[in-house]
Amino acid sequence: MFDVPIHGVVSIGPVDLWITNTIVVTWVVMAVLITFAIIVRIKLKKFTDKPTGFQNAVEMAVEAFDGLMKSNGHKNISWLGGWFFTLFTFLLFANIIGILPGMRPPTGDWPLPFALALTSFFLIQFAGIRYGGWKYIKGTYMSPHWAFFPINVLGEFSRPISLSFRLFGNILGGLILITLLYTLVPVLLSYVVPVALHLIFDLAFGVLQAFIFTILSLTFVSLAAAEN
Amino acid sequence: MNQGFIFLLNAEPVPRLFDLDLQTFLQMLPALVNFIVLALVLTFILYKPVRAFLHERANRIARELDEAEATKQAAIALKEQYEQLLKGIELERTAILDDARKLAMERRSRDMTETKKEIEDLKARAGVEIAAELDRVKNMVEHAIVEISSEMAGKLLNVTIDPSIHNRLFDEAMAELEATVFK
Repeated sequence: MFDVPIHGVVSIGPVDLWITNTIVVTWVVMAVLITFAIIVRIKLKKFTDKPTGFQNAVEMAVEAFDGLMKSNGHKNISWLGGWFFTLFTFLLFANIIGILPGMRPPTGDWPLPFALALTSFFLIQFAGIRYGGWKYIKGTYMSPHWAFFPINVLGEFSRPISLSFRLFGNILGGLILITLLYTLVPVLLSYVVPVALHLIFDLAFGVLQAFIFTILSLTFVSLAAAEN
Repeated sequence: MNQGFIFLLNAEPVPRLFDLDLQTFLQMLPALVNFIVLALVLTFILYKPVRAFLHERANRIARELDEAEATKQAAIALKEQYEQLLKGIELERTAILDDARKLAMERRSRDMTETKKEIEDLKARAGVEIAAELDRVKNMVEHAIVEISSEMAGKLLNVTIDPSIHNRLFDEAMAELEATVFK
């Protein structure tokens, strides 16, 4: 009932890569976001000093995220604003796409949250080493003594794992609850009762989890960039 | 072993919710690629251009606000300068008016004095002239009286005068005298 459907198989040498529903829905989300970005890019030339309607919405989103970067992000990582903006918008759309009929949130399948958490992990290490150098490595992995190196490595690796499981667990949990509810309530009520739960689990939790994932990643990268 | 891509017409559910197998980690590769592509596209097509537009507009508005503030300060300074100037002009005007008033008062007082003096002079001169005229008239009257008296005496000596002639002569003399005096 909660299994991820497979739409195709790609064979690369000895391995078969499944084209799962997660990948397909990710492409759908990507297509929506890229189309939106292209529309904005075309309309940007017509943007005025007195924003209205569509321009207002775009400005509000970018300004809100810019403000978030300024208030939570270290100045060293201001160039990563686009990355975190994409992370938030992608997670937002991926989490709430479950509202649409037939769409399964791709973040309810662990490989996607873990891949995103891994990018955050590598960004943390990159920012730490770039702005802190040896001091970062020493302070992060050999503190308070080099003998703690294995524990510190585990601690660092636990970050992407906890990030991904938080997101995955919340979205999958909501998905399971809603699916169960659809099967439990009578047919007529199934058009009424789950709506409230969709609002909570898909919309509210989706927005919240997207925000939490982004803000935690941003904070970890900021801390690493400011380590020195 | 399959080679290439197989599209399944009917999606087949795989009985797995969470597994830590090779397929799970293989699934991460397209997820990573997808997200990196999306991040590049959104950053360079949406986020950066919109942010640049917003910064450019914010800078322009800040610049215009600065210019407006500078213009306002200049206007305030100019206003203060004008106010100082007006205050100076007011003081100058008051001083000029005071001087003019003082000068006018002095001139009036001087004119009054001069006029009074002129009047006194005129009065004095008129008195002298009147006295001289009186003397002249007196002399004329005296001369006329003398002449009349002489004529009357001459007539008296040559003609025996009856009372009517006497009265006529007297009237004539008086008339002549009156005519002489009031000419």
